[in-house]
Amino acid sequence: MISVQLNVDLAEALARLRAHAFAQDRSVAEVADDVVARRLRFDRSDP
Amino acid sequence: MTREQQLAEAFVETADTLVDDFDVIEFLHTLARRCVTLLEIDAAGLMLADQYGTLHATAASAENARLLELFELQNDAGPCLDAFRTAAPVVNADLRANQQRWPRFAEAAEASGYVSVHALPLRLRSSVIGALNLFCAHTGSLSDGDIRTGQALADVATIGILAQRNLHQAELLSTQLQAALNNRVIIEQAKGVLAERHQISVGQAFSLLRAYSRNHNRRLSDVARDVAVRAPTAAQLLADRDTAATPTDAE
Repeated sequence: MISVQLNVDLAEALARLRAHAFAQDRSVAEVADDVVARRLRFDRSDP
Repeated sequence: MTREQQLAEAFVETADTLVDDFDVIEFLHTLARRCVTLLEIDAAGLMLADQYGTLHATAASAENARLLELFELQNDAGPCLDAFRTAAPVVNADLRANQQRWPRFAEAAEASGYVSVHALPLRLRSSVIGALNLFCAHTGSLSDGDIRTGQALADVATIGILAQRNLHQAELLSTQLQAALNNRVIIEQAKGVLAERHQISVGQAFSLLRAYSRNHNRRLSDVARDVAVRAPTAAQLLADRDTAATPTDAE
């Protein structure tokens, strides 16, 4: 889903997911859960 | 179709597993759905073990996140883990009565509306490669006949998974299982791409994939791979909603 939102390949999408999780001090699984549940999108610029 | 006819269909499909072009993931999904119809239960799924003994959901009768979560929870404690480790069936397990035995799983399964569960080992001679998980939302137990039918379906699933190549048994097990698990990952990736592209649920995305692969006579995992890497061959699936194949089952 992230790869479509950011228009990047799957490897990059995974890297972005991990980076976000690290920056937010959350597990990758938790962030992924939010993405799948559509609580979190990767195509709006975050402050 | 009578139960006997449906059973015959399920076993005949296993013969197809000996053919070259066979799609194991599609086969397992069909089998999971057949279990639901034949045994008159509410959900079914197949879990396969990797080389570390961790069970992974490989196919389910419905592609919704909550059901798939119920499979993943069983890596701590659950009927599938028990069936896998003991190679013995777990039958007619009432969730309420098994709260102590499988605390997180029983709670989550009950919250999803299920009342009883069963897990049948996927056996090949002395090895167990996973388990077939059956979920019931209604009270009442499965009969001995139902259990035997379920175990037979579990056994045909095992044959289907392992039938493809003529390798030494040890190599066969790990290669086939790894291939099945790898295919699973690709399918999950493709579901995500389609769900986001068309703003549909992952369940609907999966139906879209299946319908497309059936209509174009291509393997599910090949179509999924094309979608995941945005290959031109998947253009129709990735195009605007109106031109994409219509999902045949809404989930």
